Amino acid sequence: MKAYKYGLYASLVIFCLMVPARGSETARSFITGVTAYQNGNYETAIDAFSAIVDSGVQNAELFYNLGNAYLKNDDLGHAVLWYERALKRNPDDPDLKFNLDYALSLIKDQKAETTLPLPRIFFFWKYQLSADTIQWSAIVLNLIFWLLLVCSHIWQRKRLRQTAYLVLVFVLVFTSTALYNYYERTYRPLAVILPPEVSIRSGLSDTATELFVLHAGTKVRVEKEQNDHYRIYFTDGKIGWVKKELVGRI
Amino acid sequence: MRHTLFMLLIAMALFPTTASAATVNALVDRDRITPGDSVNLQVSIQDGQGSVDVGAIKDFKVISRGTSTSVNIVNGQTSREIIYNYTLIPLKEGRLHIPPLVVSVDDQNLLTREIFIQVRQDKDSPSNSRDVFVETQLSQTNPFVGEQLTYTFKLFNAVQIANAQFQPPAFEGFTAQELEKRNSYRRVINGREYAVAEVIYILVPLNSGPRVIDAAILQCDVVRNRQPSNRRRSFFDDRFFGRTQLEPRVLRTEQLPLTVRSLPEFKGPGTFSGLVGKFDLSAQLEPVTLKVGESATLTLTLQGTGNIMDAEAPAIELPDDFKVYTDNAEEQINISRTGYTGRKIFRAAIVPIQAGAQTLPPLNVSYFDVEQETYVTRSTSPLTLTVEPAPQSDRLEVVQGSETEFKSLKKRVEFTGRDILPLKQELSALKPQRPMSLLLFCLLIIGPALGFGLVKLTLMLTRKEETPAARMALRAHKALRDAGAGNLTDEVFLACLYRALTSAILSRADSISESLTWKEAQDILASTGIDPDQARHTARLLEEIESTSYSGATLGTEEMARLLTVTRETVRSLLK
Repeated sequence: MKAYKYGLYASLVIFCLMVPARGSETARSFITGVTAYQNGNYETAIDAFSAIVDSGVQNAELFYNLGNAYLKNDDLGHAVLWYERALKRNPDDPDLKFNLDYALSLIKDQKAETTLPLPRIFFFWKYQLSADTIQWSAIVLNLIFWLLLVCSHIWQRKRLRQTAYLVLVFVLVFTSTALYNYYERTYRPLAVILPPEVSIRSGLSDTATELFVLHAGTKVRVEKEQNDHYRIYFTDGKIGWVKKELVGRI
Repeated sequence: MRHTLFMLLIAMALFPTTASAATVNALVDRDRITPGDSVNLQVSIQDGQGSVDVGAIKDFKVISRGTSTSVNIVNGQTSREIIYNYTLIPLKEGRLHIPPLVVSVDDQNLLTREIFIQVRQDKDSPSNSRDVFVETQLSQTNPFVGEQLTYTFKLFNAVQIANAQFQPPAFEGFTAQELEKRNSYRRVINGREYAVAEVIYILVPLNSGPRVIDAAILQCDVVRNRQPSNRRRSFFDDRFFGRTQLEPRVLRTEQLPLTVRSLPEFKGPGTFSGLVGKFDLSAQLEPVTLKVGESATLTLTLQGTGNIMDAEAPAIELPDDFKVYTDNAEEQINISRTGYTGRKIFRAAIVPIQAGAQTLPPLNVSYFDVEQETYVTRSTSPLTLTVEPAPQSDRLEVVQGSETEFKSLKKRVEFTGRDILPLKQELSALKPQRPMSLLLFCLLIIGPALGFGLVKLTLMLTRKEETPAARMALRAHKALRDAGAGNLTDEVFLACLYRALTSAILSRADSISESLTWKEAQDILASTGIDPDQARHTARLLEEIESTSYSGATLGTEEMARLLTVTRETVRSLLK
C-alpha cells in the first residue's frame, strides 16, 4: 500500500514536470522556426513548424506560418494547403487572405468554380460565413428560441410565442447549414494538388489513361477513396483518379 | 393442405432463386498481334459485383472501355454477369504477359487466369499496313530554354477510317498550346494518294537538358468491305446498310528525343527581360510641347516573335523633373505555325514639373535572339519635349486646390512589388484551436430542448388543481386587463366588461359558465350570502352594460372610463 502511494506521488511529480517541459519545447521549436525563416533557412523553418503541428497543436496562425515557409521554399502546393487549413479556422485574418491571394495567383490552372452561381446566391450565408460562425449562430439562436418558448409558457404571452417561431426559422436554417458543412467536411472534403504537375488518370494504376493534368496548388473535391487513390472532381466533366500521396486534404 | 402446397409451388415458380458463389474469367480476342495492333480483354464476373485491378498489367497500356451487364433467367435460375472491357496496346515486342488479375467480389479476392500474347512484326503481313499511318515532326531538336518550337502530328490515310481518337503526348517539361485550326490536304506518296490531317502544337521548353517527347497515339477503325466483291458495287454497299465492317487499329508514333540548351550568361548592359525570340522596340511621345503640370503620353511598342506574353514594361528612368504614371499594358498576341507573334503596348503619363527643353533618355530592352544565338539590346531614340511655364491663373488654381486639377493626376494605386506578409511571431500561434465535434454540436442543440422539457414537466407537477372559482377569477382579471388596454371598439370594450363582471359573479358562486342575465346574477349573489345592496348594484351594472351593448349607442371617452372604474371596483369587491 505504501509502495503504491509512493508510485502515485512519483507519477504526479513526473507529470507536473513534463507538462511545462513539453510547453517550453514547443515554444523553442516555434522560436527556432521563426528565426530560421527570418534567416532565409526555410526548410529548417518548415521542419520546426511541422514538429509543432505533429505534436497536436492546431492553430490558424501556426498554419499560416507553415504556408509562408512553404511558399518561400517554392513549394506552392503545400503553401496553398496550409493557407487553406488556416482559412478554415480563421476566415477573417487579413494577412492570411493577402498571402493566400498571392499564392493563388501563382497557380497555373485556371480557377474553376465548383459551385454554381445560383446556390451561391440562394445559400449566401453558407459561403459568406465561416463554419464556426454558422455553428455558434445555430447554437445561440437555438438557445434563444427555447428561452422564448419557456417564457411564453410561463407568462402565457402570445407575442413571445410568435417571436419564438420566427427565431425557429433561423435556427433551422443555421442548424441544417452547420450539419451540411459537417457532411461536406467528412464525406466530400476539399484537397490541394501538391507536386508541380500531376496526371489525373482514368483508373487506379499508373498505366491507366491520363485524362488531364493539374498543377500545384489547384483545389479539387475528393469524391471517393479506394485503396491508395482518391477519385477527385475538378470541374464539370473533369473527374479522375489520383494517388493519395499527391494531394493534401484541407 | 392441397391448397397450401399449390400456393407454395406457384411462389417457387414466380420467385427465382439466385446462384450463390461468384466466378471470374478473363478472355482476349486474339493471342498473336503485330506491334501496331491492340487486344481486347474482357474480365467477366458471374453472380457477383466487384472491381478489377488492372494495375498488374505492365507489358501493355490499358485503356478502359466501360462495363456491360447481362441478366439471364433460365428455369427460374437468375444469373447475372458483369463484363469489364479493356483495350490493351503492347508496349514492346515479344511474348507479353497478362498476369492473373485481382477481382474483388463481395469482400473476397478472386484471380483470373494468366494469358500470354505474342507480339511480333509479321513479315508476311499484307501490304495494306500502310493504308493508314502516322508520323510526327519537330521543328527543332536543339532549342534554347524559352525558344518556341513546332510539334506536328500527321495522319495519313488512303482508306476510309472512322471513330478516330487522338491522344497527344504529355509534353513534360514544356508548355504546349495546340493550334485551333487543324490542317487537312491530300498528298501522293509512291503513287498512292493519301488524305493528310495535321495537328500542330507550339512548345516552349521550361528547363535545359535532354528531353523525350512521348509517343502520340491514335485509335481508329478502318472501314473495310465484308466480302471481297467481284460483283458490281451496289447501293446497299454503303456503311449505312451494314455491308462494311470496322477493323480497330491503334497507331503509335516514335518517341522524339531532343536536347534543350540553357541560355548563355547575360553580361549586360541593363537587365535581361526574359524574352527569347526576335523583338523590336519603338517609342512615341505626344504631345511634344506642353505646359508644366500637363501630361504627355509616352507609348512604348514591343513587337516580335517569341514569348512576348511574358514581357514586362521596360523600366522608365526619367530625370526628377518628371512624374511618371504607368497604365495597364495592352497586348495583341496571335498563335500560328511559326509560334507566338504580336505586340505589347505600354503607356505612361509623363507630367513635367519644371519648364524648359527636356530630353527623355533612350529606353532599352534586352532579349535573347535565337537566330544569332546571342543577347541583343533594342533601344528607342531620345525624345525631346518642350515644357512651357504654367500660366499664372493655373498656378493659382493649383494652390487653391482645384478639384479638376487633382482629379486628372489621380491614379489607381498599383502594386510596385510582390511579396507575402511576414510570419506571426506571437506565442498565441501555439494555442490549440480544435474545431467543435459533431457530437458536442448536437448536444448543444439538443440541450436547450431538454431544458424546456424539464421546465414544462416541473410546471405540470407543481401546478395546483384550479378550482372553478380560481379559474373564473383569473378570467375576470384578464378581461379587465383587456378592457383597459385601450384602442378598443365600443363593442369589444363592453364585451370585456361583461366577461369580467360575469366571471367575478360566477367565481363567487364557484361555478363555471359563459353568460348570465342580470336576474340570474342577482339570484346567484343573493344565494352566496352577499350584502343585498351590493347584489342589486352589481345586477344593475350588468344590466347597464348589456343594454348599452344591445342598443348600439356610442360611448364617449369619459363614459368608457366611468364604466371601467365602476366595473373594476365591483369585480374587486366581489373577488375579495
